[in-house]
Amino acid sequence: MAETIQGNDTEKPVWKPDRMDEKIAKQRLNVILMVDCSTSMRGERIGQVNHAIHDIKQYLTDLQNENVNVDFYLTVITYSTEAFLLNHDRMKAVEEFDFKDIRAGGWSNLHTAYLQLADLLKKEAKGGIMPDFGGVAPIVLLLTDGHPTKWPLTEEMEILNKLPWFKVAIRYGIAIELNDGRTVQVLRDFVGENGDVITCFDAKLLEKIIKIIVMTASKVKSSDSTTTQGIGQNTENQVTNDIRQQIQQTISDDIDSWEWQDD
Amino acid sequence: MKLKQNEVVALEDGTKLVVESLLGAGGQGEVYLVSMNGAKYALKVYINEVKPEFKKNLKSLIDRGSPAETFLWPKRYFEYEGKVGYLMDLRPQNYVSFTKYVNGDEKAQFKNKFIMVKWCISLCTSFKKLHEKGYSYQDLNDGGFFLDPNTGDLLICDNDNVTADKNNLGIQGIIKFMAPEVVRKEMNPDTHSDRFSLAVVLFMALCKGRPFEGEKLKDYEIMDEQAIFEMYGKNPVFVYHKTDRSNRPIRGYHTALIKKWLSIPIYIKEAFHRTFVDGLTDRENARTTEIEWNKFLCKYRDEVMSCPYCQSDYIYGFEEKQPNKICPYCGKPTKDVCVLHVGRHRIVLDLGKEIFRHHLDKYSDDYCTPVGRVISNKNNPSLWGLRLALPQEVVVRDVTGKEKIFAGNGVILLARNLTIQFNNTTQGEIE
Amino acid sequence: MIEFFNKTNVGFSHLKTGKPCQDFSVSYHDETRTIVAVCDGHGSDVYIRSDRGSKFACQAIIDAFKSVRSLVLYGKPKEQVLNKIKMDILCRWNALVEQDLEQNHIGKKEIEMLSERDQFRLKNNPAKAYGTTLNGAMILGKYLLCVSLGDGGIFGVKKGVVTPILEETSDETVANYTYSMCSEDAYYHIHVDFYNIRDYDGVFLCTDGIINPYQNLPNFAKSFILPVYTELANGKRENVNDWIVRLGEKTGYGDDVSLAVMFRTEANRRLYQEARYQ
Repeated sequence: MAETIQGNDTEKPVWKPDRMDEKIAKQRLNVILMVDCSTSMRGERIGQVNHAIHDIKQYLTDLQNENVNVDFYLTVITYSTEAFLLNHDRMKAVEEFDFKDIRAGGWSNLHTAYLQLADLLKKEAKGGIMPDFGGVAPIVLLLTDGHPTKWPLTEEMEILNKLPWFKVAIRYGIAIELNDGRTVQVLRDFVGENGDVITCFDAKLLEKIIKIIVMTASKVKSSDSTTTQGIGQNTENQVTNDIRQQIQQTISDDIDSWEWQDD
Repeated sequence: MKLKQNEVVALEDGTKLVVESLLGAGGQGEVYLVSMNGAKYALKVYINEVKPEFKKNLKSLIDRGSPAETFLWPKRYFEYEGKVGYLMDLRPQNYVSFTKYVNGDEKAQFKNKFIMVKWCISLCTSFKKLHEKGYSYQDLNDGGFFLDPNTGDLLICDNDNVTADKNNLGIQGIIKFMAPEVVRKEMNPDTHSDRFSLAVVLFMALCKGRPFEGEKLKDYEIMDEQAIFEMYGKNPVFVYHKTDRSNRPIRGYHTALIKKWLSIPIYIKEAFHRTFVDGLTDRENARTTEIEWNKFLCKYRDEVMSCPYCQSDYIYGFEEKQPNKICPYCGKPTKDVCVLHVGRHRIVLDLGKEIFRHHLDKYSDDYCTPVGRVISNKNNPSLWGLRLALPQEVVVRDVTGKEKIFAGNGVILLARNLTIQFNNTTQGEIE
Repeated sequence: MIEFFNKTNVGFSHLKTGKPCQDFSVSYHDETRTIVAVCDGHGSDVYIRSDRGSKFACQAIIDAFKSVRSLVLYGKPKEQVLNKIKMDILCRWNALVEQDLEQNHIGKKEIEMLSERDQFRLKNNPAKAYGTTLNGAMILGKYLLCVSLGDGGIFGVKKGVVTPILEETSDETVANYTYSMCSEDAYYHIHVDFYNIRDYDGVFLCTDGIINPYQNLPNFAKSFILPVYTELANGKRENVNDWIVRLGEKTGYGDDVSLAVMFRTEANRRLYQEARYQ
């Protein structure tokens, strides 16, 4: 239960109210990165991801300075055999986020990351990182190169799908250099109707994609939730469509810069 | 409790019954699980003293037997040491109560609209058979009906109040299901009031709402006896009365009713209107009969199809102002389907749809035995065929005049402009 | 004696885009009762008339509450009495929406910018155009009657302690999603209850444009509710007025803002008058 300000029984007040203008915060936009750091990510792949996250941090800091409405907060979940919060930080203001390179090694236990995510996507009063009042849909990016060790992930997805904050979250699955049908399916199950799976081949593109997602997702307006329709089940969610279009554009713009592989 | 566990009681002929457990209890009696000669049955025992006329009626019901398989009918009379009741079959586990269906219990919902309409047809057919035997049910309410959500099979319980038409053993029924003249105590229940109550049950099944419960609800501080008497007896106003809009369903409250009313065909709406408006004053002629209901429900069943995008069931719309070119639920285009014209029937040939005996024989009242079903090809699911279940061969002629004979259990590939000669008297055309 | 206050101001994001203010607030007072209400019309594109929807919701609350003769139950079941109030508010809102639709059909021009899906949604449920939340309160005799649907909130204050009243506990109202009067099952999400007025010195009704910038209750209580109460108790209504304007047009999240307050002047007046800012 949230703390309340107490008076006592005498007539004299013991509380002193703040000035009315103080303590108004900008909207908080939580960006959660779920990063696969299993053994297969060793070498160039984790290098790409580390580079991208360094740049994302810089990028979000710059964006924030230009944006009067929103403060970005970053949380990074790394997972291999187990899932951890990077630096044990949850919901760190982006300019204070201290990023150290992630090392790769271990199994790919994505299910542990799902459970970690479930803990985060609750109201603060219930132990999560989402605000008690209002709030903006969080952005969750899952970066992986290969199929999870435990599969299927039905149980963990059921837990996530029951969370209203997960249902509204804008989710993207970013597949680092893979063409594995099973992994694509896992990513599709994760993103559902509220996002997309992107096959990503370099950190620059990754950075661009993340930029678009974050910028577009910060524009949201109120809607009604009806039990028949359900939260986040609006199959033509305008924000998701905008993001899709812009990402397609980005990918096709960049196509000339890809190396063509000879068959 | 009237009986104890492991107590041994006996029927009139001395057959022993061993009481195993109490299954349930209501205002009238208690129902026990008993075993008799190694088989399990249900034994209903009345709580209060039973009048001689009631006993006589009960014995008569047992002697004359059940009008149809759908009734869980009294099998054997029971009177033992002052306790009176009857033995009946157990209700199978796969049946759920109609009350749960109406209340939205997830496990009690029909698999699809097709199955729901099948259940409604069974209900009307059963009551037709009951009335044909000279009975009236007199206590139609949601508690006496059960359904198998997957097959649409029907079971009717609480048949001990059934009696000869115009006879009455003191039962009036439950107000929200009763005909208004019975609520007002101007008349006793009979077949005409049964028809009214049948329409109420059908309304609840098809529309998930009550026909006289709308905006007038807000006129009453509390729903006490007086309020219920006024709404259902003194001044009942059908929620979709064409001219009197004072009792419309409340948007935001009667959610299911508003949605489902929009999706039922015009001829079903007209049938409800006739019963609940004209039938208030002309109880003998205006209330839709069981035969009429079956005709409308079969038509409804024939034109149901499913949306390939959102999987909702809706009607083709043969008799609406215009056919449904888009799904009314998701707005996506209606799929292209063939329609089989047989006599006056128009059957939308969607996957899983069936044709029934009454389609091929206009004198048949068998609405439930399928004689054909639309199936898809295993190797190429986009190819659909009509799998037959007939005792005789059929001849199919295409638009060029070429004929082919199919075995009674063969599969006819669906294509437009085919003519199917089902038998000597019945021909169908696929458009 | 009861004092009351209400204020609505357009948010800066609406000023930027030229959208009308979609919040509405109202107060009513006569010799038997005082009523206040704040309602917040939804902002997404499909809610093309939510500014009217919020106004109708306020009207429905006033009319429904005015028709409540007494909150003394005299043996009537409390739940049924409350259900009747819920039903009354819903039916009145529906009637106002229907009347508006009859007099002003939703024209092609109003919907031409909407997506096909939104146009389809409106065709199936025209009331959606008027989607709004709803928060209302009435002091009648020794009772405080409150009603709430959707986001925003009602907060009671007693000797400096701030408590939410009729808190929406469902997790379904997260981010920008909220229950609404246009929801198909709106009735089932309307919360209503009544309390002894002596349990509270005053009651605050706010739309989420006011609440959300404070993010949690302790911050909201200390930085908004108590300062506003202090100012009102000191007769400084203009200060509160100006500050709501500033919150809407400059310092808030850009959303429209609405506040309505009722308080008992005899309740701990000195307590609040002596409280000052740090």
